Amino acid sequence: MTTSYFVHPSKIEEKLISIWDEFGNINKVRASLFTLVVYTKTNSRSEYIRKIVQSIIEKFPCRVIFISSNNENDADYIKTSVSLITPEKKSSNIACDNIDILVGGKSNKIVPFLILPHILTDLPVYLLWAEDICNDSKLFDELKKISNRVIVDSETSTNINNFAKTIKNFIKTEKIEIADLNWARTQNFRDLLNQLFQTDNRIKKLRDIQSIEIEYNDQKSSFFCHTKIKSLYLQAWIATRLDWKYKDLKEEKNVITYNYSNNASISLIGKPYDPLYTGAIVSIKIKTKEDIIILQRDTNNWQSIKIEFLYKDKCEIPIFHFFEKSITGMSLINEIYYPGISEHFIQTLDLLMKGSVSC
Amino acid sequence: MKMNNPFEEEGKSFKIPEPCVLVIFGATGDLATKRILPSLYSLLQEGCLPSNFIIVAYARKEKTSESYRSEMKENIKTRLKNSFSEDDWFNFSNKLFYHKANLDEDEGYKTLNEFLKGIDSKYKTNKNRVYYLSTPPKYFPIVIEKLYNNGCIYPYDDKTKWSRVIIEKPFGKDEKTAKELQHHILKYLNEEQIYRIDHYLGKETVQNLLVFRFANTIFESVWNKEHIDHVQITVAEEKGIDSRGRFFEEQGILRDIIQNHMMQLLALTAMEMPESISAHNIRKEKVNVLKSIAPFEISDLCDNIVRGQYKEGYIYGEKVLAYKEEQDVDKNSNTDTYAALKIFINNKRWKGVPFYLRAGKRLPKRTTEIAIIFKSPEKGFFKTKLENNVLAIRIQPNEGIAMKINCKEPYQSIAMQPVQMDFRYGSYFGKKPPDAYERLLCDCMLGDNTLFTSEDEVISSWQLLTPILDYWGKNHSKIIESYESGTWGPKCSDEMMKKDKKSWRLL
Repeated sequence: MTTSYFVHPSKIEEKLISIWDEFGNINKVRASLFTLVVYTKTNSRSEYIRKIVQSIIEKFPCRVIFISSNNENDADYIKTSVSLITPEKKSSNIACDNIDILVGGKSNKIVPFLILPHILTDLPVYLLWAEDICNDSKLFDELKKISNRVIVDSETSTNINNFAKTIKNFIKTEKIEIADLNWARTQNFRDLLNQLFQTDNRIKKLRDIQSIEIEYNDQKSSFFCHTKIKSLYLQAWIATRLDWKYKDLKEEKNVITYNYSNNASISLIGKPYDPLYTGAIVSIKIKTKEDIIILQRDTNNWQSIKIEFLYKDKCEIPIFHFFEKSITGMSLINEIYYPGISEHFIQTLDLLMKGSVSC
Repeated sequence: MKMNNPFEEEGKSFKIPEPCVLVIFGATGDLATKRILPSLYSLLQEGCLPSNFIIVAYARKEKTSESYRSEMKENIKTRLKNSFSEDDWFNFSNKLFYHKANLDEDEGYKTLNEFLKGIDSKYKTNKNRVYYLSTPPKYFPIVIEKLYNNGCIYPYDDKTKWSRVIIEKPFGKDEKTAKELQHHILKYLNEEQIYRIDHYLGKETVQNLLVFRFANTIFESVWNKEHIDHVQITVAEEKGIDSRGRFFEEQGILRDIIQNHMMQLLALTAMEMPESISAHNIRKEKVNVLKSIAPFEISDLCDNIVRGQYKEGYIYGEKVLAYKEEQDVDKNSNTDTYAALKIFINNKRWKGVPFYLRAGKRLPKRTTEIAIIFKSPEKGFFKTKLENNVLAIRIQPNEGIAMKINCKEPYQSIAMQPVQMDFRYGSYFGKKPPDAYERLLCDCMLGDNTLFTSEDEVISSWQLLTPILDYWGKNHSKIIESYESGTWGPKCSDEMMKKDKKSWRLL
């Protein structure tokens, strides 16, 4: 990011133009495919959200309007500043407009008015709502009206059942597409499972699954504390894809077990795995009547997944699969940018609405 | 019937190819080391390769798997610089093996087959095979025959496993040899198993042509003879023939560039909207264009086709040799390093619209572009002369699309100025588009031949161009004009345009 200049809201565009004029000599190109409106409270997650924004502009340049809000009890204030964000790769010649809005107290309600003049004409508007969507927010109600797509993060949710219900309701009542960052974060394992069960022989084994164990890193960080949410998503996705009917769930210490009517179960086991990122899925162990299939992340090289097929009468030599480097890479971009809401996602939400799990 | 994978979501799931082995013949050559292997490495980094995937490098040089890996590591490290990673290289090198054998001896294929069976057993590659023939074209028939005779190629209707063969251009030297090659290959392969690579089709910008034309109604409605004055397609290279003298002497620019890359660009520019986005329908429409091109008459061969050869000159300030002085080139060579053609497409959409095509080496810069020059605006409304609108599709470099329009100059006068609206891939999407070979390799493994050239396309283009080659063969010394390296080609090329009251775009 270039130097940030505090300006009066009426001078935002003028200042952006003057920054661009200064940049004219160093051959930067102003690029925007859409307007990205970001809302977050000023807390320990703000920096993490900025990283997500950075990863978005690495792939798809956009105009960023970043709203950081303090609690409504604080004094009223609005501070606006402008800067340019550039991709981290030095050889890139693009730069994106960045408008920062710091707002406190009752001034929150002015935010939609601040934003409207700066939405890029004819281009989509994506709203990244980095707070819990289950909490009522007038600002959210206003901002979603101008958005083509809303991006949420179930990581912010304290109650996944409620979250799933809210999202489902949103999909039903609003004509806006919705994407979930946490759903995007599970894409690598979903794609891997898709790839592993391509042949008829392997697909047949899915019918015989008796239990699945998903281990995840339950070590919290400053911006991630709901460590089991990715695992909850993954288990719900697996169960819905296999057409399992939910029966009940048991929660004991660090283990949650979902039981299904076909007597199959999926257990989520939380353990600390330093230095893996918080909530990372570490392993999946699938047991059928006769076989065991293990997907195990290498904790020294967390992109590398060792896959073993252990049959009743023989074992296959393990193979290795490699995830794309960045956890906020193409899977995130696919989820954010490409149109349509995944049917798999909607069905996963249906299952997540069942049972009550503490997050 | 294949069972449905419940984990797959149509249109959303990232398509990763099935487990397979990729055998690269000619694995120590430039194509394999400079393009294919770095592309495979990049695919691994992007997570686009199946977990069960092995590469077997087949060549006659004395090497081991270890020594080959070591060489390729340095090679890929040099090429990919910032994106090279030791971890990724470790993963990649575990998938890379070397098989020393000759291309023309059965023994090599027998041992290859045994080796591949062992690979299947150990790495669960499901017996699926891709054979990439990055060899000189003369080896295509023999390699395919020997693969077949040694059980390395399966029947197309085998539902339990598949085998595919990728071959590089040139596909024959003229219509006769192209048909002979095709006839020979079809003894051993079904057409659906043959993947003829034209790497231009793997370029994002070339693929974008279809999207651009058919996903934007404003362009489709003016994409015809009512609105378009003429079309110029340019494939220019600043470099000479490098160390390819021996090869280029037999080819010339018409065979090397025009018969394949240029014809593909022409077909995509001029084709009708296909019935669907399937490979079959897209190819069908491309062939229809090629078959609609008016055959060359004798008068065309004299007036509407230009042939040139570069002489010494300057490229980016550096003095360069004449073609005849290049290594492995005959001092009396009449091989063309530049060619320009004027063609017409006889169909409802294009009747009467000339297409000017030019390709050359040692031109001032490297650029490939399709320019649609629209008809002049109506006379009389504005007194000043107006520039024709131009839509320029830049295939490489600076991939993107530019539109030249007329705008009023500021202040009181009604004076007009042409301005350019510009879209650049790199700027808007944050990075350069992926390498063409990455996309094509992946598509072949996925069994998608949309971006590969069909037999019909190859034969149709040869049918059009072979008379030119025959004519040149008989009259070569009379009709080749030299041009200085670093200029835009021989004078007769400009004269060809001038006769039509047109001029080549200055790129």
